[in-house]
Amino acid sequence: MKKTSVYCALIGLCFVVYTTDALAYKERKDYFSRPQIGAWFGPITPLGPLGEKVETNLGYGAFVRFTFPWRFLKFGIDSSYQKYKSKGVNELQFVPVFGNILFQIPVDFPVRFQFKGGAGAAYLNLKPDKVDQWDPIFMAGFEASFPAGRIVNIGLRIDYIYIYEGYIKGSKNGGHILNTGIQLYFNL
Amino acid sequence: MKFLKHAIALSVILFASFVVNCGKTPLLTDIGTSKLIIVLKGTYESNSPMYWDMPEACASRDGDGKCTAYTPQHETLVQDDSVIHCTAPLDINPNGFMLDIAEVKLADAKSNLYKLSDYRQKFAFGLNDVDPFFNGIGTIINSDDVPSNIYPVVGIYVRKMLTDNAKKYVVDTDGWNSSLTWDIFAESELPAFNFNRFQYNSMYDRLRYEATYINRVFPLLVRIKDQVTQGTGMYFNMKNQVTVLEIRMVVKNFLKKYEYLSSSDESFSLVHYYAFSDWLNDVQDNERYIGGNILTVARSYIVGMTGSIPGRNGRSHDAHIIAIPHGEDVRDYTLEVPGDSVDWSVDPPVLPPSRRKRNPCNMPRGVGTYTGTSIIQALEYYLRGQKYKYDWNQKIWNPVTSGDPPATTYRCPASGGASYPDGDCCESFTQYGDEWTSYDKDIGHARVPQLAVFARTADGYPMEPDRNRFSIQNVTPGSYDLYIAQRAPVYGVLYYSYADPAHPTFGASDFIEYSGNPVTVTIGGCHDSFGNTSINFSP
Repeated sequence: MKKTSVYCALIGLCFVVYTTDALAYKERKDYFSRPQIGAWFGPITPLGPLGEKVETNLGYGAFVRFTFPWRFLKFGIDSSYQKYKSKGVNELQFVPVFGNILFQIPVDFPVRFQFKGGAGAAYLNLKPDKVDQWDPIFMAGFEASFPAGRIVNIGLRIDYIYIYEGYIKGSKNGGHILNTGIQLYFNL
Repeated sequence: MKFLKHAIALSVILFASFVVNCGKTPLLTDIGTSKLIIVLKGTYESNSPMYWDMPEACASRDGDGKCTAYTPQHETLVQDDSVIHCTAPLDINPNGFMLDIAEVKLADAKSNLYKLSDYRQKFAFGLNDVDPFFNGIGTIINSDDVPSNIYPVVGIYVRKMLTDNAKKYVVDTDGWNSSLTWDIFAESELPAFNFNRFQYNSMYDRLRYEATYINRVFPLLVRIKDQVTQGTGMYFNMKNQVTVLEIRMVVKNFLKKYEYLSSSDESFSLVHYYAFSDWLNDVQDNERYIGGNILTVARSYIVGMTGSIPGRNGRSHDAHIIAIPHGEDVRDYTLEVPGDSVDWSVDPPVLPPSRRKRNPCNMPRGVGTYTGTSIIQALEYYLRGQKYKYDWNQKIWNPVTSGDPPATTYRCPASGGASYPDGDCCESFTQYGDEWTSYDKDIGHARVPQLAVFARTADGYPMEPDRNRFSIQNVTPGSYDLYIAQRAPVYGVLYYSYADPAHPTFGASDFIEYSGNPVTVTIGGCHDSFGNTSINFSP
């Protein structure tokens, strides 16, 4: 009798544990589809001709995301503050504001992989020239996210941003920037 | 979903609005290019400088090739009169000038500083007519841009200035023994001497607090008195193609030899080195500091927006020709001396006494405090202290009591015992203050002209009729007065004006005015008041 009770308790415990896990897994997917808000922090690296003029620094940014009716597709709005210093007196402040579409690889796996692409504009301020203006930008990127519970997600991101100045007379090159960082964001 | 739609629409509109070109600047292209170029020159002239004319040091040699005597020109024009301890003819002329700059800044009218170049840059120039620093072309200092503004002053943060062929002397049983001194430039040890550490301007007015620390090289401030802004400063506009900021520091034909006593070890030693001529602020015996003698000038022009002033030197001697803003007093570009007539035809000429020597309150320097343990240095210190007391008493009024009944009169030893109040003595603190204020005023107004060239004479060269042509280049449009020096340039000396009303040359200067002044410069050309497009100075 006692033995039977122990077996029943163990089976019951297993049932509870596994069922809970199964339910939680399903619910985590749902939480990830909710509107999200987050921030990132990490190295910002100018590439190409721009990389010869200014140097790598640390940058930070914030974003919001909304899921389309198809839950593997999201729309996000990102902004960040990036300040590039140089060995000389040149300094470039770069504040991109862009919209992007994120595509999540539709595979049930605890780690979420998302590709993204978008466009927008960026505020550029060049010192010591004291020249500032808005330029169009294009971006593409990749993210790996680790949902940590119902609300919190931790992720790694790599964004490539192209600053387009080809439409301005006298322009010889645009700007290439690579942002990498660790991000923390929340399911609302 | 409504918010989502709005956000997408906003992104598209935002992007589209920036694709339209609205008179923007290619900022990412401009980030590496500079529209303000700094050109550094080591010449009195803005272009076409005079050739190097440093007198030879050695006049004669013995059988071993060792120099036995200096040339009179070296002794008078190159060797400063403060070189008194070692006159052994072992020095040789320098071959190089080295400059180490930490950064360059521009200051606006509100004294805000703008970094124009914070690259540490090291330059080594050969003292010859080929080096761009000395041939009129100039050396470019790596720089970036600054905001569009008016900048009255540029500051160069000079870390080091060195010349080579400095020698250290010690006495042994055979007399003076010399060896080259070594110093560090560009992280390497070189046979050179960093005279920048002595460029303190503390030689005058020792009673003033600043006298202990005034240093005019970090930064070396250079006024930019451009005519476009009526002397206010340099007008820099990012929309202009390229603006050139030309900074000149008179090095060429302006180096002198100084003596520096070293008592850092047990043996008595001294160093002979080359630095800027003390034509302005006289360096005196036993003085270590040589500051206040960097003659600088700066000007700016926009490339493609300049004219030139061509002409001929019709006089019978090589001469400097200067162009100054119309209406300015040419005596501002000279050093005032009493009307002593200098015979410039004598080689070397006997120069008038320096402004400092003519200052009756130019008191001797104290010896400070000795805290060492060397008996040799202590004895040297006490001897110098006695000398200081003696020299001081020569410069003040001494009471002398004589006669029957005894009467006290005041006599000045420096003027050979003349009675009060005549003579060369300093009477009071009030006079001390007045004399040094007057000294500062006289020294401070001497400037280097923004535009100057060197023109040869054609006299005696019938086969070279164009030898006397000159052309002042890159002149900003405006109205100028031209002058020609009435004597050939003299090594280590610039130009004088004569200030003493008691002398017949009162009011005159070494410059003669061009008869067709003012000369109007336009883009690409110029003309004088008679309409001539070539400025010909008559004999």
